[in-house]
This record gives sequence, structure tokens and C-alpha cells, in this order.
Amino acid sequence: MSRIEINGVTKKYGKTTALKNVNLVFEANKIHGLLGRNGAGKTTLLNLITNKIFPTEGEITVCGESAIENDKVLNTMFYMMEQNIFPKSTKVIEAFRWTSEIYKSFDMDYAKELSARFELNTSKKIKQLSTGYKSIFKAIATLASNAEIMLFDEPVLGLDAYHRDMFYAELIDNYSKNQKTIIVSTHLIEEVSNILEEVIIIKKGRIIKQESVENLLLSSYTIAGENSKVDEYLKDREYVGVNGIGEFKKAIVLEKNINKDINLANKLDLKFGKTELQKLFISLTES
Amino acid sequence: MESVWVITKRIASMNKFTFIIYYAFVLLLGAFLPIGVVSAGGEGTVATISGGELFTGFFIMAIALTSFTQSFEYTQFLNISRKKFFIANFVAVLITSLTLVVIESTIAYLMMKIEAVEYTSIFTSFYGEGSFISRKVWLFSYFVTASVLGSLIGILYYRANQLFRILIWCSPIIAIFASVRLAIYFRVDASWILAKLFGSYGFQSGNSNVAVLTGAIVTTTCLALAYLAIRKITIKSGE
Repeated sequence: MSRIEINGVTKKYGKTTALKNVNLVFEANKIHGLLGRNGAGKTTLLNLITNKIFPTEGEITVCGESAIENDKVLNTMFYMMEQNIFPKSTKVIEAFRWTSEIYKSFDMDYAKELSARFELNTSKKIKQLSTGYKSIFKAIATLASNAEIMLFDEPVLGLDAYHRDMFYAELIDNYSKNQKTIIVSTHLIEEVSNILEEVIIIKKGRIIKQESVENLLLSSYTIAGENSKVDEYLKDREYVGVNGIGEFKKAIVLEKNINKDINLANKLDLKFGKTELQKLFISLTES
Repeated sequence: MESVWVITKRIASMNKFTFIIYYAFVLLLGAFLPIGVVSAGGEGTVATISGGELFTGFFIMAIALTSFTQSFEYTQFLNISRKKFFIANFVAVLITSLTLVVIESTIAYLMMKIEAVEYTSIFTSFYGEGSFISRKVWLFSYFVTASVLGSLIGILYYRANQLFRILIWCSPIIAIFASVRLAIYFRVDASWILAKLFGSYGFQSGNSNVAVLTGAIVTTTCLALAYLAIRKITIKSGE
């Protein structure tokens, strides 16, 4: 079972605390979205899971075992890093070959097929690729690795809209054919919201929300109307974001047990609406 | 173990083109030097060539130093543990050193076949003729020590911050200066230090086994330090 458990993990860089007492479980065989603003600690968390760095405190287990210097566990994961660390004078096809030597379930035919579809020239050297194609190369290597756990850090960096769309479609297709644990770290929430099952929102090194996308969106709604009337409705309710234009305002109400007061809203002439994940994210991560 | 071997092969093959260029240059030099000497000095003139292996030792040390980043980051991309990388890197050093011993011996053999060249190996200069085995073991030990020392410096340099990197660059000068100051302070005779140093490499006794033993001690110490430094090393570069 490719379950990842994070217990009381803190990561400090000198006097800066990148992650503080993080407790988190990534359930197996789901697509998790790790969302956070720049510098929130998303990459630090992925680096810790894959043992690229070491925690200052706490413990991380993958499939029930510590990942620290554990080749058996490390080989169950493939991490598409934001950085480009593959030898740059290596050709793309060679890099795929090297990867297939370590990841026994690597599907070379699939890698070649994806390369053709994404128009990635496999005889080119990695250093000759543009930023977008470097991302495509890493994404293909990750997808073709067939690892039990796939971690994507900003996977669509430098990709145009067409390729971004292709990537998300391929990710879903890959997942539906062979279920695995996928973690996608991004700040492009609108694009990724349709493919996520679970969402983890991280803010200044702390996990502020972990819930299924469905529950999160079901437990929130927007209420809009005149300022004073919205304020009246929001009295004694939990809300996370208020945007106002002139005399009107719109707020996102977030309640564990949804408790819409339709009568009061009608009386105050307020309108209910659905929440978008991106808007909710912005409201939750506002300073 | 299978993956250690795979990584070893990859690490060892990463610098093959650098070695090809180096030996192409050596062979060109070996071919043109006698021609140049003979054409300048006339028939019967002999060119003396010596110290090739010594230079190869410095070269392999520089390669080990500069290639650490590439080989380490390649293994990190593929989620390979530091411990496995450390073992594979050392096995790659052994394989590369062994290959270089074969290449150097072949070059030495070819040089000795050329009439216009008087070839003297470093081993012969320090220890006399010696046996075939002792010559090869000494050369292998020299290449391994040079590589491991280069790897250690590469690891320390990779881990270091900017200030420490400057210190690493300046360390040979600092070490010489500190040694001289300490020798003066403790009133130690410089010739005594040199005698001990030469003694540890068997120059005085003409015993190459002493040098091999010293090499093994230096290699083991460097490996131990490298292991300590690599245990918690993290990726520094990348784009």
C-alpha cells in the first residue's frame, strides 16, 4: 500500500522554519493536490517525502517504512522535481534508458509514444531543450516510470495551454489505467481542480486544510448582496473571504455541517452561489 | 547489488569523452615529439619522456573533483540512496583506475618501442625497475588515491557555502603556510619533515610497497571522511 504518513515533521533552514509540526496522511491510490502560495513549503514537503532533504524533527513513513536512505522505499516513488538535475549533455532517449535501468516497471514504449505526442525530440540533448520541453521530458519520465507513487512539483512549468491540457488528460488516463498515489504540487489551482480527489492547503509551513475536493466544495458556498445584509447573514457563521465592490460584497462561507439559512437569505435579498476551488484557496491563504 | 552495478557503469561512463580527448592529446604528443626532436637535432637524437602517469594522476583527481555534482545529481534524479551512490562511486573509481593502468601500460610499451624516445616511468625513477606486479599495483594505488582524494574535495566543495569554498581553493597555500609556521614555532627541521614524507612513500628505501600502504591509508581516511560528508548531503545546484 503506497500510503505516506507524516508525523510531527518540522524542517528548519537556519533560523527559518519552512515546515512546522506537519501531521498528514496521503492515502493510497488517490490524486492529491498540494496547494500553497509561493514559499508556503510545498517543495520542502515533497523533498522530505522523497528523502532529498532530512527533517529537523518528526518522521515520514512510506508504505509503513521510513524513506530515509531506504532504496526499497525510494524505488516505489518517482519525483518530478522542479529543478533540472539530470546530466545535461545526456540525450533524452538515453535518459529514458538510464531511468528504465533503475525503475524496472518503466515503460519505454509508452515513453516513446508520449514523446511523439508531445513532440519531444528524443535525440536532442537535455541542455538543448526549452524550459517547457524540460518539463515535458521530466513529466514523461515520471509517467512512464509506473512507480507506485508519483510526485509532481509544478509539472506544467513553462508549458503552453495546449501541452498543459494534454498533460492533465494523460495524468488522468494513466491513473485510470493503473491506480497509484499521485501528489501534484502547484499554484495553478483552477487548471488542476478537476483532476484532484484530495486537497491539502499549506500556508507558511502549516497545513491549514486537508479534505476531499468534493467535501471542501460541498461545505462551502458564497453569499452575495448589500454590505450590511451580508454582514447580518455572516453573524455567528464561519467565513473565509470577503470581497466588496461599492455597496455590495460577496463572502465565502465555510461550514463543517452546511447550514444554509434560505429564509434569512430570501428576507435579506441575498444570493447563494457555488464556490470555486481557486477562490476558496485564495481566501484560505490570505494573510 | 544489480542497481549498484548499473549506477557504477553509468558513473564510470560519464567522463569517457574527457578521457578520450585526454589520451588523444597524449598520443598526439607521443607521436609528434620524437618527430620534432629528430627533425631539430638530426638523426640519433633521443627525446626523453617521463612523468606521464604523474600527470594522469592529477588529471583523474580533477575529473573526480569536477564530476561529483553530475554523478550525484543523476542518482538523486533517480531516487537512489546516498549510501548506494557512495558504493557505486567507489566501484567506478576502482574500474576507472584499473582501465587507466592498462592504458598507461600500453602507452609506456608503445613509447619504449620508439627508437627516438627514451621513456622512463615515474615508478622506475623512484623505485628502480621492480617487478611487473609491483609496478602495476603501485600505479593502481596511485590512481585510486588521487581519485578518492578528488572525490572528497568534490563532496566538500559541493556541500560548502561560499566562504568555505574559497577556503577549499586556498587550502593548499594555507596548509603550506601553516606547516612552515608550525615548523618554525616547534623548531622542527624542515629536512626531517621531508625525510618523513619521502619515507612514507618509500622513496629512500626504494620500496614501492610502502607507498602502496600509505596510499591505502590515505584512501581509507578520505573514504571515511567522504562517507561522513555524504550521509546528509542535499542537492545544491540545478536550474
